[in-house]
Amino acid sequence: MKNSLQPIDNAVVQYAQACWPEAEARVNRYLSALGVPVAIREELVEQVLRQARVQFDGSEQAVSVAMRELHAILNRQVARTQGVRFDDPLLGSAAWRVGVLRHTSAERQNWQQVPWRSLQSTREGRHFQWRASQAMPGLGRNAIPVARLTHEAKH
Amino acid sequence: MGTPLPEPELPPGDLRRAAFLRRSFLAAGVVLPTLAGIALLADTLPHGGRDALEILILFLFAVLFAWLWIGFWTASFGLYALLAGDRFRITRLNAPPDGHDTPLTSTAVIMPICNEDADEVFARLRATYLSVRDTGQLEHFDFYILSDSYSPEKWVEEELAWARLCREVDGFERIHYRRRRYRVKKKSGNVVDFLRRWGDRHEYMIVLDADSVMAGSTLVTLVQAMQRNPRVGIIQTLPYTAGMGSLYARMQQFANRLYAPMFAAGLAFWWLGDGQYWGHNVIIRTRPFMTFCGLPKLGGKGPFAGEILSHDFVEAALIHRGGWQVWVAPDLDGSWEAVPPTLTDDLKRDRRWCQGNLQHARIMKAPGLHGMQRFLLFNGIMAYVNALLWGLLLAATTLAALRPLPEGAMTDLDQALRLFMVTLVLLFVPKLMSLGLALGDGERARLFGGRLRLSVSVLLETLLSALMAPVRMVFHSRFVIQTLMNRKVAWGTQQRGERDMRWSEAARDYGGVTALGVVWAVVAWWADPVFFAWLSPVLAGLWLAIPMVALTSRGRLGQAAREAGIFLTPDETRPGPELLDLWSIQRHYASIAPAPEAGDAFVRAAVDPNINALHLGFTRRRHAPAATAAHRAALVSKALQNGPESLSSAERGELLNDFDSMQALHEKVWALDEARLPPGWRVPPLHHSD
Repeated sequence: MKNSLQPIDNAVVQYAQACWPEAEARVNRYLSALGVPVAIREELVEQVLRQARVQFDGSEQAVSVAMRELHAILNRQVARTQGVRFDDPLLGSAAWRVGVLRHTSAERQNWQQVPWRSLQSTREGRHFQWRASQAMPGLGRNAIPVARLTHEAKH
Repeated sequence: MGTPLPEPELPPGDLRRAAFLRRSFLAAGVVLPTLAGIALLADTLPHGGRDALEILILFLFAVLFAWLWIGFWTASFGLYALLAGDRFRITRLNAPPDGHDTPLTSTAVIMPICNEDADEVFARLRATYLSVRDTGQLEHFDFYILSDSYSPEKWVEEELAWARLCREVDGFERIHYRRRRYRVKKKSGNVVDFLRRWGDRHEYMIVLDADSVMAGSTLVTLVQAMQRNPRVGIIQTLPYTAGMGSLYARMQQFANRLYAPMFAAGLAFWWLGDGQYWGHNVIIRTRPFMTFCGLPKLGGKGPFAGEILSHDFVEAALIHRGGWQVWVAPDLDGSWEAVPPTLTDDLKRDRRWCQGNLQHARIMKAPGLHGMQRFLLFNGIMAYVNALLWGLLLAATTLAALRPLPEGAMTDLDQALRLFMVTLVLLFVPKLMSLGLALGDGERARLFGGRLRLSVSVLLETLLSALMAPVRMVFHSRFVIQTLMNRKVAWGTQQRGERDMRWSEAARDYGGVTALGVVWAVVAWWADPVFFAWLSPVLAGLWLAIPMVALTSRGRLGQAAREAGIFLTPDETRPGPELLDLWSIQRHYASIAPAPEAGDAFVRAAVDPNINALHLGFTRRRHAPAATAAHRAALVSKALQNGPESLSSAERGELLNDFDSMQALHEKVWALDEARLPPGWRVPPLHHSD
C-alpha cells in the first residue's frame, strides 16, 4: 500500500486530473455490470474515487488504482456482512459478487438480500467455493466393483 | 441411505409361469411359420432350394422372416395387452389395495451432458423440475447436471445456465451442477463417477438424456413402483417425441406416438422382469447398480475391444445377473425425448449404436447371464445385421435371376406372390393395428388430428418409411462391414438442432446410393423384367434418396404438414403443462441470448463481473509448479495483447481451469486503459436503466 503522505509532484497531479474521469467511468461501468442499483452506485463510486485519489502516486494508471480500491471495498463488504476475511481483496470481491448472484432474485440483484454468513470460505483468506450443497453436495467415496464379463476383462 | 441390500430372490412363481408361457408362445409363433415359409420358398425356387445359391437364399430368408414374425407377435401381444389388459404391469404390481400413496424416498434425477446447447438442456430440466415441484414431492428429489463438456465456451454457458435456473426456480441446493475434468468412459463413466461420489445419498436415480423431459407425476409413479417392488432394479419408461419441426422428425414423432405404445406394451408382455433399458428416461436402484454394473474395459484388439460403447443393454444384463428385475412401463405417459432432425443425423446416430451393439457379441458370452438377456443382446445385434442380411438376400436373388433356368424348371409365381403377401402382412399389419386402435377411440383419433387426417398421416408415413428402408439398409450394411473391418467409428456429439439440408450435401451423401439403385435396376431389367418389377419398390427408394432426404429435412415442409393436420400428435393438439412450460422458456431463452458484441462465453467469463465470479466459484485453486504458472501468465499476457481470439481452444480451456489466470484476466481487462485493449475485450457499457 502506498504511503498517503508521500509528496506528489505537479506532473503527476496534472496527469491524474486528466485520468480521473475515465477511472470514474470505469468504476461506474463495473458496478453497473454487477447490477448495482444507481442510487447505491453513485455513493460507491464516490467512495472508491476518494480512496483511490489518496492511494494514487502516479506510478500506475488512475483506472488501475480505482479498480483496485473497488475490489478492496467489495472485500470489506464481505468481511463486514459475512464474517469472512480474505487476504486477497480480489478473492473477497469475487466472493461478494458470487454471493450477490446466489442470494438475490433473478430480476434484480439487491445487495441487502445476501444473508449473514451465507458465504463460506473453504480455506479462509485463500479461496472461496460454492458453499457445500449448493453447486454439489459433500463428497462420498463409494467403491464400484468392475463386473466380470469375459475372461480377459481388464480391471 | 444405509438400508441393507434386500436378498435377491427369484421372481414369484406366477411371474415365472407367465414368462414361460408367453415366451413359449412367441417361440412357437416364430419358428413354425418360419419353417413353413422356408418350405414355401424352397418350393418356389427353380432348383428347389438344393444348390448353394438357393441354400444361401433360404438361410437369409429364414433369419429375416423369423425377425419379422418376432415384430409381428410383439405388436400382437401389445394389441392384446392394450385391449384386454396385462396383470403384470409394473406400475400396478403390489399396489396397496387401500388406495393410499406409497411413500417416496431420496431420488437423484441425473442428466449427463456433453457439449450440448446449454439453454436447451436447462430449459428441459426446468420443465421437469417445475413439474416435480407441482406434485408437492420435491423434497424427495435432487437434480444433478453431470457435464462432460470439453468445449471451454460450453462450460461457461452451462455454469451460467445453472445459476440462472437456480435463481429462476429457487433451486439452489436442489439443482446441482458438476463438470468432470477428466472424461473417463464417456457417459457411462460419468454416471459411475456420480455414483462413486454421491450414489449413497440416494436410493434411486432417474437418468435423463440431454433432450429428455419428464412429468413430475411420472417420476413419482416410478419411485412408488420401485418402493413397492423391492426386487426391481430398473424400470424403463417409453419416451415420446414432441415439438419437432422438420418433416422427417415430425414423421418420426408421429410414428413414435402412434405405433410405439403398442410395441412397447408387446415388449413388456413377453419381457416381463427380464427386459432391457434404453439408457435414459428410466429409474434405477442405485445400490445394486453400483454393485453389479461397473463396466470393464474389454481386452484385446479389434472392433469389439476397449470401452463398452452401448452401455445400457449391458448394464441391464448385469443388474439382471445380480438377481434384479428389469421392466418396461409402457403405460406411463409424461416421458419425452427428441429425435434426430434428418435421416442423415439419424444414420449418424445409428452408426454409433451399430458398433456398440455389435460389440455385445462378446458380452453375450459373459458367465452367468440369463438366457433371455443373451437373446436380447443378440436381438440388438440383429437390429443392424439384419440390414446386411437383407442386402445379401437381394443380391443373391439378383444373382439367381441372372442364371438361366434349368431345363424344365420354372419359378412358381403364384406361390412367390403368396409369400410376398405374407411378408407385407407382417410388415404393415402392426401399423394397421395401431391405426385401428386409434380410429376405434374417437377421442384418441381427434388428438391425432381426426380420423381422416390420421389415416392420411399413416399412409404417408408408411410410404415414406418404405422408401427410406432401402437407404437405411445400404447404410446399416456399410456400418456393419466397417465395424467388422475395424474402421474407426466416430462418437461425436449428436446433432439435435434443426437444419435444412443443402441439395449439394444430400447429393454428396446419397449420390452413391442413387448410383447403386440405377446400376442395380439395369442389371435386374437385363436379368428379367418381371424380377425388375419385384425389385422396383426397393430400387425406387434408392433412386429417390437425394430428394427424399433433402426435402424431409425441411422445417418449412414440416410446418406445412402441421398446418394441414398431417403427422399431428396428442402432444401438439393437447400438450401437457411440462411441454407448454418447455416451449415457453425456450422462446424466452432465445429472446435473452447475449448480443454478439458481448463476446463469446470465454470473453464474458473474463470480463463480466458476475460471470467471472460464478466461474471462479466452480474452479478450485490449485498450486501450480512455477513453470506451469509462468506458462499460464504468458497466455494471459498473450490474450491481453492480441485479443481473446489469439487463444486456441486448448489455451482457453487451460485458463478457464485455472483460478488465478481467470482472476488475473478479469482484473487486468478492467484495470487497463481501454485504448490499449484489443477490440476482442469489450468492457460492458453503462446501464442507465437501473
